[in-house]
Amino acid sequence: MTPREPHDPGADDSRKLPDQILSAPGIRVAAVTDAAEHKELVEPIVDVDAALVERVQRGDQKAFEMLVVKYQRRIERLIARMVRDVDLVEDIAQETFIRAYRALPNFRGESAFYTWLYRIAVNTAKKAMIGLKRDPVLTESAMASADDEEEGGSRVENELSDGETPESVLASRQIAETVNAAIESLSEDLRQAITLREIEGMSYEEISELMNCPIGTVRSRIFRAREAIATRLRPLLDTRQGERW
Amino acid sequence: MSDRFSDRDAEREALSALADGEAQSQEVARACAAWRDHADARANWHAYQLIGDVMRSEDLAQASSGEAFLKNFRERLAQEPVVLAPSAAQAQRAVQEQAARQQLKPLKRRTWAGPVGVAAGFVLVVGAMLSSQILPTGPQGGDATLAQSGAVRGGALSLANTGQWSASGFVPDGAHAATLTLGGASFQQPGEVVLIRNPQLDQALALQRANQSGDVSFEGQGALTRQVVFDGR
Repeated sequence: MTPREPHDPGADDSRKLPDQILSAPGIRVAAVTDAAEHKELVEPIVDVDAALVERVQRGDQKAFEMLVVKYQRRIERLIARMVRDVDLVEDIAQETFIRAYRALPNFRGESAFYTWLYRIAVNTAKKAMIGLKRDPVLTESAMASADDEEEGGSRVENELSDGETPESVLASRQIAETVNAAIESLSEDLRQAITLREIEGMSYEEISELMNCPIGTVRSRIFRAREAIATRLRPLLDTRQGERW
Repeated sequence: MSDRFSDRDAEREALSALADGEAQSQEVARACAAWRDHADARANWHAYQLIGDVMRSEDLAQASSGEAFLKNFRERLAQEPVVLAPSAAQAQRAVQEQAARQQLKPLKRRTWAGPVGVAAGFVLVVGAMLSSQILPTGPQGGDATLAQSGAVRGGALSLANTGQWSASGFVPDGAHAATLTLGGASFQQPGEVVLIRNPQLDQALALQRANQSGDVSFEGQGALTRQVVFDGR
């Protein structure tokens, strides 16, 4: 990891990072920019998953909920490739997260949290299918195809899986269409920033180099893009904001 | 969005950065606190994650409702004990480290065992060699003569500077003084006997080396060979 350097030298000198911090090797820093005051903080970036896991290991049970919300959909899709039964998918996903929580004291961070969680999900699904006397070997290939299209492939099947209803499929389509429409309506800067981040998986540093703007600006653009999309998405999320969360 | 950046906006921006894995340690702590205390922070976290997932793959929009999933999960999680309290985790870590140290200690103690074992083996071999030379036959003529012979007491062995073997304290019973003749010189050493290799051995070894090269035979070397007679033949 290389230290960040100021971008767009003539544009916004107030957002440049201090040279003495930038010169320290191996330190990844972020420029946190307040949109109104252009205030800048410089602190090391942390591995968010690792930080949340550490908090759970120290007894902060609520921090684990953030990881659940973050990975719930990916884990459910993985399990859905194996069992093809929506009712079972949610149960197995719940069991996966409970098992992960129980095993968390033994998690030493030798692999990424999601890699570790992925293995737990696969083992939990296999065990569930053995209990149901279904053949887990057949679904391994389905799981492999799920991995292949991990980066943005779209499901093209028309038939409903067990437990799926036309309403749930319609709701899912509406969510996808709303997100896509919201992205299309974004300004070029915001759309480019969130696309580079979410689809290309670039870091803020890489995006700032690509867009030739400070890291704080990248952070702000991505946040504003998310807020614009979320504003259009919230009516579809089946609950008023904060009602049940 | 208004131009004025409120605290709530700053909190949501930090949450957005957290979703990207680009947050600082203080922001992680603040986000966890917001997650505990503010329902809208939880809803925002869910919305941000959902947006990212749907952008990457529309399949992920088909996952079950986030808040329903979390509600069910919370009910199950409530039945689970807290993973580890900090003190318990530290205590367990300390116990594990102590156990690991205990396992390593015997290995450390054995570090001297190797050299000592080699030395002990060396002493045994030397002792065996000397015993085989001295005890069955004793000194045989030549330059070294033991004044007395008898039962042998054990003692320490050492290699003399001359390159010859000497036995300090390796004294036959009753032999408080031994007369030695080495290279024509006599030594009177009370309580100590210097054992000298039989000179015939050197002669025999020289003949053996010559024999190995193939130009000398043992014929005519009667002085060095022993005739053995079986059943009068």
